[in-house]
Amino acid sequence: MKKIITSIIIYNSLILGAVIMCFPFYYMIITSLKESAYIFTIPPQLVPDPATLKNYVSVWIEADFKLYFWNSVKITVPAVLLNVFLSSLTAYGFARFKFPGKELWFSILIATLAVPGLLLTIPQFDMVRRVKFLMDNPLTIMLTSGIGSVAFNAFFLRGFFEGIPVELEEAAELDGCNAFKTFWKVAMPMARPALATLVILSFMGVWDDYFWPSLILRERSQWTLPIGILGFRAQHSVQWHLLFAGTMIAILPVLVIYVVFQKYFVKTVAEGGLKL
Amino acid sequence: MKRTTRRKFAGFLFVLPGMMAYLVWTIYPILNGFYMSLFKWNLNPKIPNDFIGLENYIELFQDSQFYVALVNTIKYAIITVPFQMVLGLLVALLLNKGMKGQTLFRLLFYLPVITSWVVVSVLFQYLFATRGGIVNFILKDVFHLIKTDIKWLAQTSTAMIPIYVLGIWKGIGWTMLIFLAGLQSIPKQLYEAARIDGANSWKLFTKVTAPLLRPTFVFQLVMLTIGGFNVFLSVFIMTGGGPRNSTHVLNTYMFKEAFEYFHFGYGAAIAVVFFLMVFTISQLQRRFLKREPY
Repeated sequence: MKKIITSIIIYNSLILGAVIMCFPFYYMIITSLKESAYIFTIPPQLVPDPATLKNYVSVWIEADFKLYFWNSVKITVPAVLLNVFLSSLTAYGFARFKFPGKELWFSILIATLAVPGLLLTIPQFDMVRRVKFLMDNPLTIMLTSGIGSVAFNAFFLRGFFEGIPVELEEAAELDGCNAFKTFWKVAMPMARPALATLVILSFMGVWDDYFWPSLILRERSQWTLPIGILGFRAQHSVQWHLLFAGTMIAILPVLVIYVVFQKYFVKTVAEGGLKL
Repeated sequence: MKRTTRRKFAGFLFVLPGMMAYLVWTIYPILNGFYMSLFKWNLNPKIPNDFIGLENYIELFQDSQFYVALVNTIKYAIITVPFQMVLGLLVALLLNKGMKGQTLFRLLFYLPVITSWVVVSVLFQYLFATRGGIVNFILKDVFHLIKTDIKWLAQTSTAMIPIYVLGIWKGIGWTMLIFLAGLQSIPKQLYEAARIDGANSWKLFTKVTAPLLRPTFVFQLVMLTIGGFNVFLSVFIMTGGGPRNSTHVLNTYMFKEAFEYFHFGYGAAIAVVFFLMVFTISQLQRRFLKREPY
């Protein structure tokens, strides 16, 4: 009896907690389905009536979210691929080879992990603005996001590569594979769980990035979703129903990727203590 | 070529692209950040910059706006870090009882963590709207705790509160996950042994769980404090530093100086002071707290 009561209390507290945590999202979703007359009613509508998908159509087409969405995709996909490839190369080099100065380099890599992004932004911006070609160019964001956080990723992936039994790679080498082929055909497939986690982290990092792209991509036609969201808010400050249709469009891809890779992700975050 | 020489060379080639990118895009900017802070940096790249030594720093330490930002940043960390840890621990303890539906609850609590700062900041601005905001509605019309709507983000006395609430709400999922991993690594036999010795639940928590979670506590404290000092987008989006510059934090103040007024040298000086502070605090926390748990 006592056990049942305890578990009822636990369940109820968990449900209460989950409701509080998720309510803002619920409220965002229903607001995105409301007509403009219903966004500030008292009492607030908790179920949209009438519910409409008009807002989504309207931000997608009239408010240019279609453009921002594809701009974001065009930057994020290559940047994530570059980021994962470059980070795995570096991590594999540190994990499997001996070369002069290796541990020194690695410790410098780790030491700079704590440097706040803020310290980097001003000098980085000063570098970019000197080259006219790089300003207002999505290629810049693609490249800088692609090579950014290599230090952290290499640190994170090195352990995974070291955990793979080395015998397989030695066998591949005996069969005549060169080092790159061994890496590409043997080590990379084995590291798939870690790579999946890295893809999510890297995707969220690039997709959600606002600050850096907003400094470089000043032309509206180049804007990514986060810039578009804040740009829209600045122009139409109280059109919350439209704004939230826009934010939902920005959230969905992240949510899909997260749910698909949840299994790998939760495990690696918990084990490695990744901080997002 | 001998195999070892060949492998040395191959290893070097593997790390070369990553390290080059890292040198150009991280090491060089760090050094340049320190360097720039000693100049009156010119907006026009063609005009040479004036070397002014430590003048940016001297000005900074006499700048009352800087102190406001500094105090706000420290307050943000002091307020949000303990709440995130206590609430995260509470959820983790409940989830650790091994009930059904753990995965679902974990996902629900983790949702705010994976949602971007831009989206949640805009969202909280709407929740805390003065007229017709749901928070005011709940406080006024549901619970009758207040008589008139609170102007949350529009008055200096309350403007930081929604920012704190957002920071805590967004962080609980992460602390929960890390605590959960810590809890699951504690051997079950320890609890059984303690129970045989007659320990009650509270004793179990204070004598077994808490001491064994010590490394997790330290890790979270360091990470969350650094994260707290880095607070930026929530303030930037929800208040923009206002009303009357009362909610600026170090990051937003740096942004304003560097990218609105184009005082790059001054902004770099803020960044350097900020970096030294975060670095010192994380080192101190490590030193004072990272003793062996036994």
